[in-house]
Amino acid sequence: MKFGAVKIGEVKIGAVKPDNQDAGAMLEVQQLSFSYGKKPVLQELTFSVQAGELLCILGPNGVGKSTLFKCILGIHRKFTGEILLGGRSLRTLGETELARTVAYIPQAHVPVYGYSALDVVLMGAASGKGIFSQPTERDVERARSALESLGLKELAWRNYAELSGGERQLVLIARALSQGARLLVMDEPTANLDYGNQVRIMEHIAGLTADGYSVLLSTHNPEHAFLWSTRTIVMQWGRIIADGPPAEALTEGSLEALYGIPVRLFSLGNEKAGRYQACMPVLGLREVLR
Amino acid sequence: MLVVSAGLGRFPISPFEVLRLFWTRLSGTPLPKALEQASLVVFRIRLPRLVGATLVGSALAASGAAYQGLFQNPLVSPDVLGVSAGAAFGAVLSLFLGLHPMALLLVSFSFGLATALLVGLLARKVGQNSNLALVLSGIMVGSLLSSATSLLKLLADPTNVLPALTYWLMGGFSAIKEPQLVIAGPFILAALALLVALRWRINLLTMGEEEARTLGAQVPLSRALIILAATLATSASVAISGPIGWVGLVIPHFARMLAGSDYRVLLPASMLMGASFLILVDDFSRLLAASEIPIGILTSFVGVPVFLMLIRRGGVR
Repeated sequence: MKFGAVKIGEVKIGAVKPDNQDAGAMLEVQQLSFSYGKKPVLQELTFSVQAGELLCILGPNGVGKSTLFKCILGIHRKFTGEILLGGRSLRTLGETELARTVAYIPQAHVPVYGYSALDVVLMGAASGKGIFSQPTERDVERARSALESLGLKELAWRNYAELSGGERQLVLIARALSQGARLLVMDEPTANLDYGNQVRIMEHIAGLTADGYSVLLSTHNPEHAFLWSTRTIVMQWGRIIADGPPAEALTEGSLEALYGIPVRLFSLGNEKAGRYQACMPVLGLREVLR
Repeated sequence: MLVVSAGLGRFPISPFEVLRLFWTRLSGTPLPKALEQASLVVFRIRLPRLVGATLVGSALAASGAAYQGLFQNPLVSPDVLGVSAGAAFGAVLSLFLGLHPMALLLVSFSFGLATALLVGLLARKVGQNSNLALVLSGIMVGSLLSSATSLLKLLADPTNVLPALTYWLMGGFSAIKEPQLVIAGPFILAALALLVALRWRINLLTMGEEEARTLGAQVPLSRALIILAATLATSASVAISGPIGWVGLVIPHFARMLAGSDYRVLLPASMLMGASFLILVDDFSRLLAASEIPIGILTSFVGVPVFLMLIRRGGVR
C-alpha cells in the first residue's frame, strides 16, 4: 500500500485541541457570495474554523477555492455576506491588521530575485511596522526562531530560489509563523512536491495545529483530508456540498460525484492504533476489488 | 573618485592639489596666487558637473532598481512610465521655442512629472491600476511623446535649433552649472531619501501584489510613494542632463551581482555604483577627444565591457 512511510499511531483523526485563550471561532464565514462581474463564483458559503482545527477544502479545479481564500485574505472585498475573524468583521480590518490575524502561505514559488531564506522569513515582520521602518535585530531573531522551529536553521543564508520545493514551502510557513497570525490559509501546500515532501509538509502543518494554530487549506488529495484534517469541506460549483469529519464528508459516492471517476475507500488500522481511510481510483480493477 | 575626476580635463590638476583646494575653501584661508585659476576651474566648472553626474547617476540607478522591484521585472528601466520621453519632449519644446536654459529645466521637469501622472490616470482607466496597465500605458504615452519629439525635430530650423536639439537628446553634463543644481538637486535628494527609507518595502513588493498585501505591506501606499520618488528623481535627472540610457537598466544588475537582491543593501549599492559609473564615463567623455563626446553615446561603450568583465568574474565565482 502507498502508506508504508507513515506510522499510523502518529496520526490522530478528529483531535481538536482547544488550548487557545479565546474559545470562539478563529474564522466564521456567513452566507458568503462573490461574483466576477455577472458570473457567480461563490454562493452562500457558511462555515467556521475553530482554534486548533485543520480544515481541508476539497473540490475540482475552478470550483472557487482560491476565490474563497482571496475573500478571507481581504484581496477580494466586494463580497456579500460576512466574514468574521476572531469575532471582528473583515470589513473593519485594514491591510496590516488583517495580516496580523490571518497569514497566507502560497504554493512554493520562485521569486524573480534571489533572497536568502532568512530575508524571505523576515518579510513576515512587515505588518507590525511603519512604512519607512527597516527590520530590527529583534525581527531577525524572530525570523531565526521561526526557521529553527521548522528545522530549517542551517538554511537561513541559502538562496531561497535554489532550495527544493519542500524546503521553500517550509520557509513560507516559517514566514507565516513570524507574521504572528493564528489563522493560516494555504493554497494547495503540497502541489508540485514529491511524495515524501507532501507527507513531511502535512505532518508539519498538523504539528502547528497542536500548537494552537488554525489551518485552512485546499488539497486535491482526499487521503490528505483523511489523514490530517479535523474537518473537511467539499465544494462544488461555488457551493459547499458536505461539511464534517472527513470520514463523513468524503464517501465513495461523494468523491465519484465530485471528480467524475469511480473511487474505492479502504479502511485500515484498528481501534487501538487508530484508523484511517485510503482512497484509490478503481478504473479497470473495479471488478477485482469488489 | 570625485576628487581625482575633479582634477581631470583639459586643464589637469593633481588629486593632491584638488584636496588642497577643498581644504582652503573649507577653512577659509586665503587662496595662494598660483592656485587661483585651478580654483576657478574646479569650483565653477568641474564640481557642479561632478555633483550633477553623482546626483543623476544615483537617481537613475536607484529609480531603475526600484522599478525593477516594483514591477518584478529585471528588464525595466526608469523610463517605463514614459518619464524620460516626457521630460525630453519638454526640453525639446523649450529649445524649439528658444526659451532660457532655466526655463528649459523647469518645463522639462514638469513634462516628466505630468507624463507619469497621465500614465497613472490612464492605467486607472484601463484596469485596476495594476502593474501591467501601468507599464502598457507608460509604453503608449512614451511612444506618443517620442513621435512628438521627432515631429519637433522635423520642424526645427536645421542650422541652429536642430543641432542643439540633437545634442541635448544625446545627454551630457556639460550644461550643468550651479543654478541647475540648486533647482534640481533638492528634488533628487528628497526622492532618493524617500526611496532609501522605503527600501525594505520594495523587497516585499517583489513578491507580487497579492502576496505583499497578505503580508500587510500597505501595498497601495508603498507603491504610490515608490512611483512618486522614482518619477521625481528621473524627471529631475533628465531635466538637467538629458536622457541617459543604460544606467538605470544595467547598474542595478551590477549592484545585484555584487550586493545581492536584498533591497536594504541593493538600493544604496545601486546609488553608489550609478554615481561612480557616471563620473567615470563623464571623465572619458571629457578626455577621449578634443571636443566632448555626449555621454549618452559613451555609457554603453564604457558599460558593456565593464558588464562583460563582471559577468566573467561572476562566472568564475
